[in-house]
Amino acid sequence: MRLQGNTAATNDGIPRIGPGVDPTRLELTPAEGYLLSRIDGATSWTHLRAIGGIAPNEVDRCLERWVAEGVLVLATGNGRITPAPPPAAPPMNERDAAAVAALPRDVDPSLDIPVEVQQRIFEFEAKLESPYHEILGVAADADRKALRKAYFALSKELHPDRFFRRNVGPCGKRLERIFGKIVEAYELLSDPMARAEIERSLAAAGGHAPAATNVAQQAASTAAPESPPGSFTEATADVRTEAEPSRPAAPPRNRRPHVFSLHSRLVRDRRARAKRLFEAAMASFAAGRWLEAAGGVRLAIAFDPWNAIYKEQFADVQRKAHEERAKQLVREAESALELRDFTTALRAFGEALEYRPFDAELLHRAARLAWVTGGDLHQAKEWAMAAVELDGANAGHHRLLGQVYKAAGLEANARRELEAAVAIDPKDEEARAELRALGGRALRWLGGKR
Amino acid sequence: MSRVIGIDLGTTNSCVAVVDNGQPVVISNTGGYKTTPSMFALADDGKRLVGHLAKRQAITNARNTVYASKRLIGRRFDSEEVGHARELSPYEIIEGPNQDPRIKLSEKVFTCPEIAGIILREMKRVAQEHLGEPVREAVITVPAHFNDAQRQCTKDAGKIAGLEVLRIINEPTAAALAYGFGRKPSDETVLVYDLGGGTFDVSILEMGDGVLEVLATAGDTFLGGEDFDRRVVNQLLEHFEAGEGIDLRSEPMALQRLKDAAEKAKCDLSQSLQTEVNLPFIASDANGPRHLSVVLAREKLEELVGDIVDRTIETVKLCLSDAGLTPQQVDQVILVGGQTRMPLVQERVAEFFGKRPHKGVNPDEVVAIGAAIQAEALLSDEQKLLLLDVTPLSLGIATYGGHFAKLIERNTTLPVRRAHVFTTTRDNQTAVKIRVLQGESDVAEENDLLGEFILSGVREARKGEPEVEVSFDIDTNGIVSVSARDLATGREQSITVNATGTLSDDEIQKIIDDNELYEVQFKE
Repeated sequence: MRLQGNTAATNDGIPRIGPGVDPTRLELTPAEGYLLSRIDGATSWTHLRAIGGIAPNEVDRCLERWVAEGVLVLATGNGRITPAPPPAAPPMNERDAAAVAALPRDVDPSLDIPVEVQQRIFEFEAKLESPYHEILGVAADADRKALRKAYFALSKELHPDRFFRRNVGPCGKRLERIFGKIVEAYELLSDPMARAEIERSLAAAGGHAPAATNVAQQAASTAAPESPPGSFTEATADVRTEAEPSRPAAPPRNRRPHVFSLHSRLVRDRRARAKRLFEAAMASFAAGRWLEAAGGVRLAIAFDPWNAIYKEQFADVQRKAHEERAKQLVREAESALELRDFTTALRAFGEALEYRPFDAELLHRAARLAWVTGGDLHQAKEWAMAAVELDGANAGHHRLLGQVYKAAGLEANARRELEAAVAIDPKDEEARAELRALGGRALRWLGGKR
Repeated sequence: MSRVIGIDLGTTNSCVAVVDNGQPVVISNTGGYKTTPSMFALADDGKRLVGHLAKRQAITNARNTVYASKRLIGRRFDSEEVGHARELSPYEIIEGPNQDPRIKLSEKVFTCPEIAGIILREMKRVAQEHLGEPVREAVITVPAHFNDAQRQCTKDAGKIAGLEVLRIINEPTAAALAYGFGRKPSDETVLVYDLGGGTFDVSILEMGDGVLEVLATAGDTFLGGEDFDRRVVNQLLEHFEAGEGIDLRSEPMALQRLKDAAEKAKCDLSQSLQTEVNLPFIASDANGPRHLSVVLAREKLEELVGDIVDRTIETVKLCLSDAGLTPQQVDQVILVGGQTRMPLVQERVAEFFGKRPHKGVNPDEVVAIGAAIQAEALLSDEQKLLLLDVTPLSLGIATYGGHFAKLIERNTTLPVRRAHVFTTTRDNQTAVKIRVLQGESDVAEENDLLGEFILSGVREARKGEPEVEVSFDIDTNGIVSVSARDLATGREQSITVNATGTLSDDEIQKIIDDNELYEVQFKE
């Protein structure tokens, strides 16, 4: 990290040519002349040191000498301290001078940036307080594609990189501000939640100005307690003004950006929280704590319902969680079976089925166990039926359902299912044996239609 | 105007490219290779060796040969990563005066930016020989998740190499630039999966109309091709110990041979299903010399490193969630970094996205090409291509109770400037300390400390009255700067810096002066 501003002893003001100084009369080495040519009333001392071509300590030495000699005056930061002397402009002939006079006050033809582009920058800067869609130059109902197109086009036109290494003077800072605003507009309009809020406020501002004020104050009061605690508390001047009760409603034009920047912070906050929850959930997921993971992802969705991947992941995580739990329960059931603990095994199978209700194989095993052990025949029938419904082409499922019916004394049903089993798999001896046991009538129907 | 080169300063290999008549080309070194090992060695006679020369003698001179120093750059000596490297590296890593790790070869101590600078100088030399003219400017790539200090050190390395660094760009972003170059303008969402020697990065970009916008980026600092090698080395060590009863872990020369063999075996297994590792005379004891000879199957390798590949997919998921996209919404997956040649990696990625990754780029060269394209794009008047990158890590300050207050969230588009107004909490408080950190943890301690500064000269007033505006800037290089201003007077505050891990301007100048002496040797 490099710290700007006053590092150690050097003074970080912005040097300008002193009033009444004629730079052409100074006696300078080529290096000094180069340095002097970089002094435009906007470039700070630090930046001059960083300009390259001249060693930083050499820059310091020259600047200090010129300040001492009165060639330069130093303005600090925003230039509030020293009254601005006329900037040093390169000599120009009369025609140029006339052309310059016709330009807006701040356009500087000496900069390495075309005059039209400078004008465009000033015009753009003037509309930075407009509603976001106007900044991007799109319709209020522009879709995501149109937004992106506008955002890309404006970035290409006004991104600071467009003027990389050129002498853009004070336009540099302007471009940064403009680009920041373009990003803000694009990000907020691309966010469904922020956009809904923006549209609501715009509509309100169109009808009743006080409504916009309410939004502003609400937003301000919600945001205020969020200031980070500590030896430093954040207190933006704007928030304070908003809080003054007697202040008449200002025109909504000035308020809007402020409201939304607070709003966007809330959105960002929610997003960040969702992200953290999601990340923790994925960690649990990786560690095999499936249920915990599913819970975490569910919370993340609650905080950021627009994130498609959370939803997709949730389905994934939940499926995995259920599968794992079911597997665990089946294992439990199996070890219970080995110990001949049928009650536990049945309960475990039953619970596993809650996670995997559509697993025909599992349904079959559970039903068979219930039937063999003479457990709840009603439950056995339900499970066996479900297995048949899910996988009707499996003779075993039909046979089992028939066996359950038979045990329950429902002979007709039993016969129907056992016949279905034999029809699918004529070699199913177990089903044939069951049919024979049901009585001679069944044999006549073998292979026939019901 | 002289030419501007793009340099991929890799953990294991580096590569340099330039845009020639509108076409990006990779420049081969004198040996005819398009990549140069990022290795530096000090020979017995005090001679400095870089690249292939250094690699060739690494086995016989393990203690004085530096590799993978990128894993150390910009880190604090007491960090986990440096501790890790200290255990595994045959060269000696000691603590420098700025709590930075330094490398001791023979009796001479080198800083990490200095080592990186020596490698960059070699790349500059390769480019100069090809172009036949001096090169003064470069765009250099770094892993996307590099923090401010790591970027700053890389920039310093450029300075040490006598290069003006026009821009530091992220490796996956560079890869996407190379992919997008010359492609007809259509809207696409691209994911770059960059598994290099020592780092893993994922970036998701949206492109169209000559603009590349990075939507999100994520990475894993502790993951790279070297981890794959390490698993293989461990396997070989265990095999040898089980068979011969000799532990080779304390033999630097044997370790270096094993490391080379492991890397080679790993690369072979990308082509064939099994390979033989043959290291005769790797050790000896009372019973005479011992040889290591073992057949390694692709399946075995995949079993050894399967969990590492799984970890990369988890990072991909996080990056997708940051961008708010599903795997299906990604149009193209680009694989970057030599390690992505491994079939297992390609399979896992294809499986996750349900589509085959893009095949058109060379994973070793694409990053340097992207850097050269970015250099050209910055300097040309036509502005055909614009890159909108993001900051990979959240920036904030430590607040009361050790909490971390984020001021700029990760994945914010660059450049960004956020100003915050601070005030005092005690009457007549005139100075205040601010600790600036980068990272994602809510606990300040768990993040990287970029530096701390003291705001002094706050006017005496009742608590809560003074208003000091502190601006945090992240420029397009991803480098952070901080400035402060008293709102009432407009006066800039004086700031005292205790930056960690990086070098001061004087130290850099001293290194540059030192290295001038060796300039002659480089040109031999």
